Order: sequence, then C-alpha cells, then structure tokens
Amino acid sequence: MISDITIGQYFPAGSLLHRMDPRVKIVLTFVYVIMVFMAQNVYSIILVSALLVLMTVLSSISFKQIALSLKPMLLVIIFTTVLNLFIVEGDYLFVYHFLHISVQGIQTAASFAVRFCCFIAGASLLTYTTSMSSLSDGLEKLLMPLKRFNVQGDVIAMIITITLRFIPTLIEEIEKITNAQKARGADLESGGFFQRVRAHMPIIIPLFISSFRRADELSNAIECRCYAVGKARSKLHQLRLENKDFAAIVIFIVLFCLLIFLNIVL
Amino acid sequence: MAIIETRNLIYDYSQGTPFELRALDDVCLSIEEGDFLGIIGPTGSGKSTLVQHLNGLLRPVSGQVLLEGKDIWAEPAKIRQVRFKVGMMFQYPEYQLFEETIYKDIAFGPKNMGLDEDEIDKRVREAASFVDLPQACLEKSPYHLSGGEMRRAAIAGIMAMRPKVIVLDEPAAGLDPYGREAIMGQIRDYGKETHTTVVIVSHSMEEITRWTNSVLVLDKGRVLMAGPTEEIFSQAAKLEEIGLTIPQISKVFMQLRAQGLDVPANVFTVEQAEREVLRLLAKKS
Amino acid sequence: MSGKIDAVDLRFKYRGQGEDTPFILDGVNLSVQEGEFVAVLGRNGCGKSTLAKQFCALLLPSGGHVYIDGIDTADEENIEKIHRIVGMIFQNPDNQIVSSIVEEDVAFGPENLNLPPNEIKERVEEALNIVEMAGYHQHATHKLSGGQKQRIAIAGIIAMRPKCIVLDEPTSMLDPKGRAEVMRTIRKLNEEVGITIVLITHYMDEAASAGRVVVMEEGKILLDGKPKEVFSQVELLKSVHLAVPQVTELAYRLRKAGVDLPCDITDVDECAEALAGLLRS
Repeated sequence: MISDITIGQYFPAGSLLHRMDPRVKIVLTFVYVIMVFMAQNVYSIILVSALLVLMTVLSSISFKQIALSLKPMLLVIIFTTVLNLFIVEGDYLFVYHFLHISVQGIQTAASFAVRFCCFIAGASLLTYTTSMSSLSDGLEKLLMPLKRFNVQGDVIAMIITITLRFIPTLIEEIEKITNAQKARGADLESGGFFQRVRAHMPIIIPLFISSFRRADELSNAIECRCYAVGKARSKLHQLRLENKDFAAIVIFIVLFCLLIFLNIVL
Repeated sequence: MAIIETRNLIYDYSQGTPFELRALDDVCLSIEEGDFLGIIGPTGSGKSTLVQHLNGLLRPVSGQVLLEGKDIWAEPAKIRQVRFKVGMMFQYPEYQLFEETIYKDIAFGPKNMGLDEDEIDKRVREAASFVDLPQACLEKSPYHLSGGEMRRAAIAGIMAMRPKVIVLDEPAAGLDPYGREAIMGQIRDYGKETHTTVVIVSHSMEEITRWTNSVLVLDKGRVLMAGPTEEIFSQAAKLEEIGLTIPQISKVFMQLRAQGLDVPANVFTVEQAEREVLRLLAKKS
Repeated sequence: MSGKIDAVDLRFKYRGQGEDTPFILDGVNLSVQEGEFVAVLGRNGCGKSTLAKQFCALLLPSGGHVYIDGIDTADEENIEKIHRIVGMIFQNPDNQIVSSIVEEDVAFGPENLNLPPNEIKERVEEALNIVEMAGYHQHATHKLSGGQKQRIAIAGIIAMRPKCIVLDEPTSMLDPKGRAEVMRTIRKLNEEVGITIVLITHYMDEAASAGRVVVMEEGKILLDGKPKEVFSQVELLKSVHLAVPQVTELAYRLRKAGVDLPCDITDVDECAEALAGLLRS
C-alpha cells in the first residue's frame, strides 16, 4: 500500500552496522563524506572505495541494493561525468571539431564518478542501517552541546519524530480527499501545468485545514501527557557507546590520517 | 429496472505483489431504480471497496459494472461522466469542504459538469433546501458552520449534481441521535421526491432497519445475502454469526422465540415490536 | 491521591466571546468520587466536551472552580500535578499518537515524567498488558485499526498511572468491533484496576454500562443518577434530543398504551423477561 513508503528506507537486520550507536554512525558518515571529497589521487580513491565495500559487507545490505541507491542520481552522475570528459583540457586523445577528450578528462571524469557514487552509497548505508527513531535519538544527543547557542536538539528531534509518524497518515488522508473530490467530478489529469496545480486546490486546502486541526488536537494530547518544551525528560532507550563503536572511531581516525598522508606524499 | 448492476466483479488489492489480497470475489448485485439499499457487513468485508466501483473510482480486475445497462468502463476516458450520474460521499465529508463559501462548495460538482451560471444557481439552492440549510448559510465560510451543518453542506454538494444514484458511506457517522434522525430523514425524502436511488453503507443495524427497503450483506468480499430488508433481518441469527450486532428488538424477539413463545421472526424496529406485542396481548384476552 | 473531581459553580466561556454570548458551561456543580464510572450524555453543543477539558485543566473556568483532589485547576503551578492525576483520551485516535512505534508512544508519558528507563520499560509492559496488546511493542502505529489505536492511546495514559481518566467520545469514530474493544478496556480499567472513569458519549448503550449517568443541556446538568433512573425519563430525554435504548423506548410506548411493564428496562434480557412474563400469564 502506498502508506508503506518510508523516507530513506530502513532495512531492519542484526548486522554490526545496524547495532552501532546512531551518534557514531552519523558522525562517521559525515567523516566518510569528507574523506570522499578529499580523495584526490588513485590510491586515496581506492581507499575510500575499499572502505565502502567493507562497510557494505558489515551491514548485511546487498551490493545490489547499494547499486539501486544510485538510481535516483544516475542522470546527474552521467551528465557530470560526460561534462568533465569533454571540458578538461590536456593531452588530447580524441578531437572532433570543437569536441575533445583528454587523458586528464578521462581521469577527472572517472574520479568524479567513483567519488560521487561512494558519497551517495555511503549516505544511503546510514539510512539503510538506522531506523528513523534511532537517527532522531542520535541527532538529539549530538545537538545537545549546541543548547548554549539556543539550538534545541530535543525539540528538533520531537519535530522529526512527529513528522515521520504522520507521513503515512497524511498520505492516507490525501488519498481520501482526492477520492472525495474526484467523486464530485474533479479533473486532476488534463490541462497544462498551471491548470493541474489549480485543479489540486480542492485537495491542498482541506489537507492544510485538517493538518492545523491535527496539530491543535495533538498539542492538547501531549500537554495532557505532561510534555513541556525545555523540560527535562528521560528516554526509554538509552544510547550507550560500546566496543564496536570505539573500534569504528579508531579505524576511521587511522584511515583519515592515511588519506591525508596519501594526499601529501603523492 | 436495474439502474446499477455488477456482474462477477472481482477486485484485488496490491495486484501482482506478494501482498495481493482478494477484496471482492465474484460480486453480483442489482439495484432497482428508486430503491433505498443498505450495504452491511463486518469490517473488512469489502463494503467501501464495492461502492468505489459503482462510480468508477476503482476499476474491476475482472467483471463488469453496468449503469443503466451500459458498462461504465466501455470508454475509460469518459469515466468522469459516470461520477456525475453516480454521486458518492465518503465518511466525515465535512473534511473535504474547501471553498470560500458554502455556495461555491456546493457548486463544485455542477461546475465540473460544465453547467451555466443560472443552472448552477438553481441546483445549489435546491440542494440546500433538501438538507434544510437556510439560504443565509450559503454565503458563510464552511469553517463558520457547526459540524452538522458542514455535513449537510457536503451532502448538498452531491445532490446538486442531480445524480441518478446517490451512494453515501456512513452519512450519519459521529452525529448525535437527533442529528442522525434528521439527516437520514432528509436523505429519504430527497430520494422519494427526486426518484433518486439511494445506497447507504452503515454499521448501524438500527439505522438500516429503520430506513432501507433492500439490504445487501457482504462477508469476506462475497455476497452473503441480498433482498428486502424484512427478509434479511428475519435471519438475524445468520447476521450475528458473521459478527454483526443486530438491533436490540431483534434480540428480544429471538429470546422470546427461544423460550417457546409464538412470536414472528421479522420484528426488528420499535414500531413493529409495539404493534406485535399489543396484537398478541389483545389476542390473549 | 484519590482522583476526586469537584466542579463548583463552574462557568465557562471562551475569552473573546462577548457579553451576550451564552456561557458554554453555566453553573455546573458536579462531584465524581474515587472509583466511580460516570457517563456524561448530551446533544452536540450541550457543553459536555468542554466539561471534559475542564476536568483535565486544558481549559480553565471563567467562573467558579474545578478541584482535582482538592487542588484548584486554576493554579498554574499545579498543572503538571493535575495532568498526572487525570488523564484524557480524545475522539480522534490518530491525533493522540506521537510516535511511529507502539512502544515509544506508550513510553512518551513516562518519559515526560523523567522516570528512569527501567521503570519506563516496566510501565509500558504493564500498560500494554492491561489493554490486551502485549507483543505489539515494535508494531507500526499507523497500521493499527481504530480500536487498537485508541487502546494504545489508553495504554499511553495508563503508563502515567493516573487516578482518573476522562474520555471524550472515544468510540464515535470507530466501527462496532473497535467500539466494543474500547468499551471492554474501559470497563476493565474501572472494575479491575480501580481507575475513576468519566466517559463523554452519545451512545445510550455505553452510558447504560456506567454506574452513574449525567445528562447535560445548554451548559447545565439536567439529570444525574443511576442509568435506570435516568433512562426511565423518556419524555425528558427526548425533549433534549437524546434517544433511549430501543428496549427502553418499547417499554415506554407499551406503558403509554396501558400495558403493565416496569419503568426501568434498559437491556435486552430485562425486556425479554418482562415481555415473556406478560405473554405467558
């Protein structure tokens, strides 16, 4: 059913990556992305690619699924690769009128393509192995030190939780309202872009109104359950760093240094 | 004459996926013009799925839906036209009101039909009067109305299309007893005056027995029974078996019969029960 | 802590409503004792929902007082204390659920009370058992039926261990199966767990299962008594646009036609027995 769609799909499993602390996963994914962008030569690119393969193996996510994660960005990858191929100047291998492909062009294009794929795949691994509520918990804890700068991590986490909880409900509601308006002859398919947008107003307006009503009722409900912004609250699931988390941190620190070394030396 | 028929209607959810579920299995129904039909069945029996086939919101996997003898899917591009002939209203319809004024919202259907201003005006006012919405209400915003008034405005929106058949899914849901009585009365009167066929889906057996003259019983996607209301509710035991709660009066008379008393089986409203008891007492003395 | 509710001369009108708009609650005097099961009936607009919100301090009186366990709801400092004593369940099952996972939603209340994780886990377990949804911990909330969602909402309140629960038309958006599930849970809460219940409803059969029925009309209390006492006043109930159970209506009509029947018939068995007696003798 359409309401089964969840954003950033999560595949529950018991792999090592799944069981890691979400804070560590978020930070290390961030570090990984930086490493991908920093990889300038062949060896460092091999390093980040190998790291991706290692993480995939430890995640029980199939390589096919990783490949599928690239699908939405395929066009962008192809487009930029081709662009790089033809734009970069250097030792020309192929010239046809104003089009030229150089050795450097091929190198740049390949480097970009591989790194972009690593970036997308790495980020996807995070959402594949971490449930939304874990991510939200992790984010909340990570943002805690920013409280002195008025960044309320717990409120942000609450907003994320509630938003995610209501996505399937809202999708169902959109279906209901759409059917109701179609039953009165609403024509949602014909006409140009603007006509179709206008035709969707009978769906958008009731959806907005009902969302405000929901928010009002929900705020009453959470108030009755003693929720108050800024108040100290505990959590059912406590996050705790374990050996595997420390090991991962150490490995990443080592690889990061190795990357810098490779960049300097080569 | 049968105004709507379905022939061997089959519908599957999530077709082609591992979650495929047969929601309707070989459903054959025939609704006579001018009838007031009630569709009942336990949750998950396929009532909502069935009614959404009647106005082409859902397309059968196999089988046919006939309106006035013609297959509604003969010309799929024209399926919208069917929705003007078979008007449908879902549960809690007040949540679909969106226009600035009630007048404009009721006019939504007729406008989609491509009618001219004068005709639309006539129909909006006529529909409003069927549901006892005062003309003064028409210029108000939907959000300034009470829940009951919003409900009536939504029903008027369907009536304004002057459909041949009006299908209502739990039209009285969430209303208090007085509101329920009022709205069902308005629907019945509308059906009679305009010779419109009415189909309601309801979980309230008391409502079904009070207002309908035919009943269709669905269970697990199949038609269990269909026929005049009296006939169907004389078989109260069968209805209880599939998990429906029968009217209190039916239960009382079932208990009396179980105790060996000679009372008829087709009593399910208060009026009928009153008549029967007085008759039996008079006979005794 | 007993969960006793006392409304004294309660008047209410929304701020911003003018002098000449009538009060939504117009001098309500009502006491609910510990362990009672009270049903509040009335037509739409009689003020019953507003009364419910007064009992859990979502709304504060414009005149008069509401005391929960002797604590005045108007005293801002006591709001959290009151929320811990009186829990509330609303009509729309969806708009009370905060999390995508059952366990986390039920834990929400205890988390807000800053309880240690072990205790939260225990309370979630206990609450799910009481509403007969043990094992649903990891279930997705949006995939639950209406009746299940309401029971999860109830579990979320029970996990805060309130003394009293106010339910505002909790079954009006549910199908008969869901309604039966929720009513069974409510009765269990009152009979087995000893929680005081205030049930706002317009279903006569639900009110009939309460220990006490209060009928409201235009912001005032019209009737207050045992279900049998209240339902026997058929004329009065009809005059305020309420209905009575079919069997009560039948007995009333037959009595009017001169038949000798008790005036407090409220359920099927009583009616069948009385009629059988008549038809046999």
